[in-house]
Amino acid sequence: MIEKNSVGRIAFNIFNYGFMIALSIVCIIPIWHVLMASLSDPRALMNVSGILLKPIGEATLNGYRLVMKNSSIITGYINTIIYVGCAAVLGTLFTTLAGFVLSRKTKLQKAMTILVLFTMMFSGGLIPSFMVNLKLGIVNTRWAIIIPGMINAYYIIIMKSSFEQLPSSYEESAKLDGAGPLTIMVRILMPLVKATVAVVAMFTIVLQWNSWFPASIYLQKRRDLWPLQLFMREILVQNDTAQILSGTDTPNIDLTGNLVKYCVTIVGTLPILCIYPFVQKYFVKGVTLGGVKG
Amino acid sequence: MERIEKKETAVTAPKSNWKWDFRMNWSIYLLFVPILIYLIIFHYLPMFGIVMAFQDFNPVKGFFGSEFVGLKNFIDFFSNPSFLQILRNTLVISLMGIFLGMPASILLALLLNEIYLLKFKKVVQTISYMPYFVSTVVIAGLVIEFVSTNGVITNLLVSIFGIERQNLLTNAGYFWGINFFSDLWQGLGYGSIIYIAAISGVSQEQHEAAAIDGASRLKRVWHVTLPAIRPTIITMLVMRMGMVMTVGFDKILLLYNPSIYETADVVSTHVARMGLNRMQYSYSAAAGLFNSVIGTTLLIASNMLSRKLADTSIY
Amino acid sequence: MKKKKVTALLLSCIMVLGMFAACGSESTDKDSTSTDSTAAGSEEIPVDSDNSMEGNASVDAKEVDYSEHETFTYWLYSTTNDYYASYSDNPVVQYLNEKFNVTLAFEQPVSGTEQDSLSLMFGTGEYTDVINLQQYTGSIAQLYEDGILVDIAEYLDYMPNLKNLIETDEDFARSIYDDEGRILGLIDYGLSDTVTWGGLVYRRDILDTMTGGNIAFPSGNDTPTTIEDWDYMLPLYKEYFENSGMMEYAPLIIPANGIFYYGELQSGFDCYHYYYAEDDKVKYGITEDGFYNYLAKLNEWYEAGYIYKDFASRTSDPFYVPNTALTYGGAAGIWYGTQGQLADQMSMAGLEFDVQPLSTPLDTENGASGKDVVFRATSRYGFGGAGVTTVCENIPKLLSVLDYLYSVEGGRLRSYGLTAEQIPADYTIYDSMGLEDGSYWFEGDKFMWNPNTAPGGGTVEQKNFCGYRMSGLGMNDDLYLLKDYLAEADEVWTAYDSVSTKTLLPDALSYPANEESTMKNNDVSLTDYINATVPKFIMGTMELNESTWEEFKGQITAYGIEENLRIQQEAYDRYLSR
Repeated sequence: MIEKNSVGRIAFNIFNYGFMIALSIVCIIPIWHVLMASLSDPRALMNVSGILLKPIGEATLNGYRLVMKNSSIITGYINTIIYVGCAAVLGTLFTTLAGFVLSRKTKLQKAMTILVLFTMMFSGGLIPSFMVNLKLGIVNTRWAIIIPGMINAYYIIIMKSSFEQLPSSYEESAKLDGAGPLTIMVRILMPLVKATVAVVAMFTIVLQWNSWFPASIYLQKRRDLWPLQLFMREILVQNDTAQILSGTDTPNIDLTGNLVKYCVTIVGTLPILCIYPFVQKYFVKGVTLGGVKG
Repeated sequence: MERIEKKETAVTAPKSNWKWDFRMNWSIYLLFVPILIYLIIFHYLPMFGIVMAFQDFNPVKGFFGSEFVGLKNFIDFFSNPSFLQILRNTLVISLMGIFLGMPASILLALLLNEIYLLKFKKVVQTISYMPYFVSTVVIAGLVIEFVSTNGVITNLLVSIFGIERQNLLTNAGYFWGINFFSDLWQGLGYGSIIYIAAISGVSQEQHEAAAIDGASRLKRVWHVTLPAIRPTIITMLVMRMGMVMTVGFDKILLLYNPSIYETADVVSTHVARMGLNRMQYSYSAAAGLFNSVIGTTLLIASNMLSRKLADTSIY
Repeated sequence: MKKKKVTALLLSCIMVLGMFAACGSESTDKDSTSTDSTAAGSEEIPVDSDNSMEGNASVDAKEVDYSEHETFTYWLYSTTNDYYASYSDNPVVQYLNEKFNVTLAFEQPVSGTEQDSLSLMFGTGEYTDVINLQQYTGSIAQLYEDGILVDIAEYLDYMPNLKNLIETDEDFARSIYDDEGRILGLIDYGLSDTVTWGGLVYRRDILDTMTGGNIAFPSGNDTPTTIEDWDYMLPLYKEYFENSGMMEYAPLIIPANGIFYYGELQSGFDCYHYYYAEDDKVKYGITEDGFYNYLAKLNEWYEAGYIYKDFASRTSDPFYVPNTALTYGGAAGIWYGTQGQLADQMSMAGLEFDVQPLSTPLDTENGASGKDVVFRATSRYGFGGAGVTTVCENIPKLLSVLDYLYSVEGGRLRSYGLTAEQIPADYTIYDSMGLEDGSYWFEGDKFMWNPNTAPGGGTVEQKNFCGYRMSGLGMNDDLYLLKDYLAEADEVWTAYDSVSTKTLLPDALSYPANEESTMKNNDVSLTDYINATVPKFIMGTMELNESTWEEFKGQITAYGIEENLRIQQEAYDRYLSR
């Protein structure tokens, strides 16, 4: 790559690197704050406001101990891994497939695309969806989480767009060789859209990791199937106000409650942060193109 | 299978001949069938629930037994005194997010592309999207602190711009800014991922060709990189226009307070409040349908526009 | 006492017999809902054996057969805690299961999704046998008309304890029946007013520091009782905080909408907020002149820097937990606190607190005398309660089980938990709480908490080891007040109860469906408007003067307050004539 090392270039570099450093600092603040808070002394934690740069009071792992001794965390992790794994594999598969199909110039292309788009814009609501799932018999089973979470119209459109951006020369030469559409997709095109597939896979995984609402509705009777986020949410959102106002509860400001909330946030978030490095390798600059010239 | 002679027509626009099309593309349609089945069962079938918006829905009577009231729910919704206000707020907040937020993410992707220290780049990328994963509750809590009367951001603004010292969340004029920047904080890094991926797909050869022609770095970005990722940008833009009415109200719910309802109340938060006092099935269904219709209109409009102006469109 | 010993003996015999029988059958799995007909209860237990209410032993109760094991499902809001995941494992529930040979299976949605869970239940027709109606925001009468709820009044003969309570207590009867004479929800019955758990508190140690121990309230009393006393206190707090160099401090913290939830502070100005009743008339406090005085005073205090500057943005703080950084950090003077903060409970190393309770200060300048203070009408009877649905297959049996909780024995279970003898055979959770000896016992005549329980000085919270989530009798709570300062606080916080002529509207009002929806719609607009405008008046964003006040009142009228008052009045009249 030919580089011009002009003054402008150097100035730009300084600005750019400086900007990135500033950005990193600003972005790491919330994570750092939560991490520090989770290691702090609970009573001291109640005094503090603002960002924590280091644990306040005596650093302690008590919060984590309280969280971990709750065995449902393990169950939650296992379930989440199952759901995320299924979503990653099945979801990416179907999304890519659908994106491919929608990118082919067929007569029904427009109709199929609109069909998919329409589902993104209009929804019947909670009760009808629940009734459909109920009739299918998947309520209170794992499938209620896996199946509806598989296909996401938004990502399908992204995949479609990605396939469409590929030069048609690949397709043509493959067709010359007599390849059918499936072969074309798998052997020729997929390697070219690897980056987008990786992104879609990551989006799907993150979405599934963070999702708790479907589980709260469809898995009401099966706590053993709950994903991690739902357990987290139960701990984070203690809706005591209603009970207090009806006189059936007496509020006692739980000193460790605050601490546990921070610990729970870390426990539920750290793993997913580690996923990006694996996805990054697909973003290698300049995918080598081979096979077709002109 | 297909005879070689047909290859000429296979790569050009399909002839308007159904039988021919089916013969060519039957395998593609076949691949679509499972997806179609899925969409019908899980998305189209439940759509019958939209009738709720036209009924006085009672869960016991169900969809077939509830009284049909026509447009009454919509009239209730539109005649609410704050309707225009919440509509304006929703549109302003969403459009700010799109037309200011998207360029920011794209810019970040471009800047990251210019970093050559690979390790540095990877680390910055990872850190930049961390805030996305911190729960909205924590971010909202931090923001409320920072903009309080003696908060960090308030101090900054007072010293730099000399604004009056107050709790910024009690002044309706600041809310849009506060909401936008907190959204930016959370979403800048994560939103740039798709563009980073797209940029990585730009062929090296084109860059080299342009460089040989004497194009400066900046020119190369403008003439090679951006056009190459334009379809991605357009796609994202059109999709987000379609979701204008629905995004982001979780954070707003946590940040806002009654004294700034005039700029902070959006359709979703308003409907949520209406639903606190009583089971508001039909009202929220009507509001939801309204959201969908507006979103679809915007989607179609922006799609048509992008087709005319940029030659790319979603459908 | 002898009767109790006999009962205890009887129960232990039954349990022992049951254990022998259970040895023969294999499944001890708590989750199993298979019908294992154990021998416990093979004799018919007459329903009124535990009824120790005076003079009513001869209620003609219908007999219920307990020999067949049955399962009843019960929908309840989320009750997460550290000891058991589902309320089905609650000790009192386990005890009832054993006693009556039933299984109470609780279904609990995740906190925050109660509305969705209820609407899904009704929408799909799959509801539980019992539903806790407190979380239901719709019309309960409508549920009956739609055929979901059962009118319990028709089955009252199976519930002798409840029937007894209704016949002896007129107010309770008025609360439990609705306007049409139906019982749709089993509500709680409190033997006495519950102890107030929270109210205004202030830091007395700061005042001591600032005045060198010579606190001289203008009213001449030892504790602050008038607004002038507050005018005296607040500057002292401000000075103290400023001298100590604290960045953020608040001599007075008020809730986000500027109005204390139960009417503290503003009722000192001769007004209340929202609807209240006086002389059988329903009135609305916000538009009264006293409220103008209240706003003016708060505005004055805000301008002087006595009120927490950021109060309006703290909407996520519950009204009883205002900014903990300030309260626990020692930077607050007056706030709405709880029992758990009194005296020196909040102290930690380097921060010594002395927190004392405050009664509502009276605006004596403008003639307030206390007769208008509406303190928390401590609800003796709950609202909503538990409703029985039409899917229940054996309503009489279910009701007789629930009725047990209205007896004194049942009330003890609900309020205090289990004694050592009552702990079911293989129930280990009590042990894990450290309560193997039961949660309470009697030493002679004296009631004693197990020291491991929170009321007894330990750590196990009451909500975990007793059963008050289910409706029933609420026992005399004086037994809680083992610490002196709690009793004193209760007195201070309820100082004007005997003088006040105003009361809150009872929870048990019912309205026809369309009136209810009109009223609630109006209420939403009203609440939004008031919550938005009051902070503005207080902060000075909107100037408070005669004309803006008239505008404010006018706007409230425009939002339909007249209509709402009429609806409420009619409902109140109907209630009074029940």
